[in-house]
Amino acid sequence: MAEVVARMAGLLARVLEDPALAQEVTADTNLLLDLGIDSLHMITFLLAVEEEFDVEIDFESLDSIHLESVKAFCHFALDGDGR
Amino acid sequence: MAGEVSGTVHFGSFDAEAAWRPDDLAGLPAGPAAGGSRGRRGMDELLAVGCAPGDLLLTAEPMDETLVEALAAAGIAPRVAAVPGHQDATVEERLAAGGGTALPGMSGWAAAFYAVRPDTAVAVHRLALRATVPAVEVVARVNSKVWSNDLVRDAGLPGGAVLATTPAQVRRLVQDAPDDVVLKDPYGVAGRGALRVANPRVLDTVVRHLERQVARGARVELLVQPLFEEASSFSTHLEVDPGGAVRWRGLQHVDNAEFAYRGSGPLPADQHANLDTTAHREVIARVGTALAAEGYTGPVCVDGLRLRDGTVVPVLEVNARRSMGLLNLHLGRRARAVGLRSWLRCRTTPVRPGDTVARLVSALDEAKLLFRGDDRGVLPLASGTLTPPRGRLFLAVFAPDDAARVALEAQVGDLLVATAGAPSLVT
Repeated sequence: MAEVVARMAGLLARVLEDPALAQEVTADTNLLLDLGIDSLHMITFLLAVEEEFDVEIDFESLDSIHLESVKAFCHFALDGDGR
Repeated sequence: MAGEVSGTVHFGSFDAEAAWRPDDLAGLPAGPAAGGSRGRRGMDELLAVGCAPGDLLLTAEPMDETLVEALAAAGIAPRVAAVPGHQDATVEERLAAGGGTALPGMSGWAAAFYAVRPDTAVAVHRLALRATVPAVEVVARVNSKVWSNDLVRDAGLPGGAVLATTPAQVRRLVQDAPDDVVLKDPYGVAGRGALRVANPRVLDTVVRHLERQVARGARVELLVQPLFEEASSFSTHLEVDPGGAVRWRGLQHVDNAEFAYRGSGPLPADQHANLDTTAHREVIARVGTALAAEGYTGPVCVDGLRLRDGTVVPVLEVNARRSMGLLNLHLGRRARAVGLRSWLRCRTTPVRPGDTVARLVSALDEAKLLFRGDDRGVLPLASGTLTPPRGRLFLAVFAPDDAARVALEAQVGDLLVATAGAPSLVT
């Protein structure tokens, strides 16, 4: 999980153009309340996740609850909940 | 009403496109986003810049009193009142539900609203205001990018898109395009509802997402447009009077970052001269006449582009409502009165819990950067948009020229980075 979180953190740092996030984002970081990702950055991030991890995200099922932590998002996007 | 004071009542939520969008339209891939409805609701405070002294501005949430005082000191001096109502309700919904009954009497005043939403006519009626309110069905139709694209193609103007109505059509049109394309939702605005398709994986994602929605009965309406090599963006502003007459209101430079709005300002003199031509005015008059024929009356913003090869796309989108460029035209009138020019700037900025626009106003005042109505300076324009952890900071910058504007913004940025606890201007 730690390696996956680190890759997610790297993607978030790139999308939000804030290199510090690569170190600051943890498994518990809330993507909405802690990072405040707006709609433009969100779709950029989600498409980047699809490419980075070679997965298909189910956008219709994606809900705020899946963004309450990086861990929850990984579970949704990578472990089958979101495919 | 003889002998009574009267003025104009200003109100309106800025997310009109969401209200106009049919429920059965399939959407582009998207995800939940921060700062959504609350931050957008706070944008109604921006309408203050169009108010004359004594006008009444009705907002959904209470406006920060320090900001109201700062605006008044700069000559923007409406009375401001928040309309009680459900926390998720727009100001129009609150007024239509009777939320304005305890507000100061304004019967017979004129109404100036941001856009015609489903509840606007009822709100105007409940307050007994004077206004011509076009039917919301008409307003929704003419604000669709499908409507403006039809107009562009009928007129033979450059920049037309192709309408796709099935996922397979979307795939074919994108694959047949020689370069990257942009997919546009008919009711997308300021980055929401536009997606650049830069590789086959993104196309697969879009088509898969559309197919799932179609399987459940959704309709597809997406405009497929080349990704233009843009040199600069501009907006043309007009007014369609109730009798159908079309009035030219002016041109504005538009500053965008990718699809996100960053600001409006005066066009450089050479670009203004190249655009303010008989031919461009005829195109804009044609847009206004078409809107009037549909039954629309009110303010209009026509977005346009100048491409790197010199081509002018005069009509990229038609926004039949008030707009950021129109707000800066209001600011420009105030600026010219004191020999300055105005820029309306918007930045996404980190906001910590407890940060308020009052602290920002105070810091600007102490640094002698706050615009007071007579000399160069900056003026925050909204408090409710600064939602943690990342909010939107709207600033008016008053300066003699663009170089002075850039210098002022840099000074403000330095000040805020150095001021612990205040929001940062750094994007």
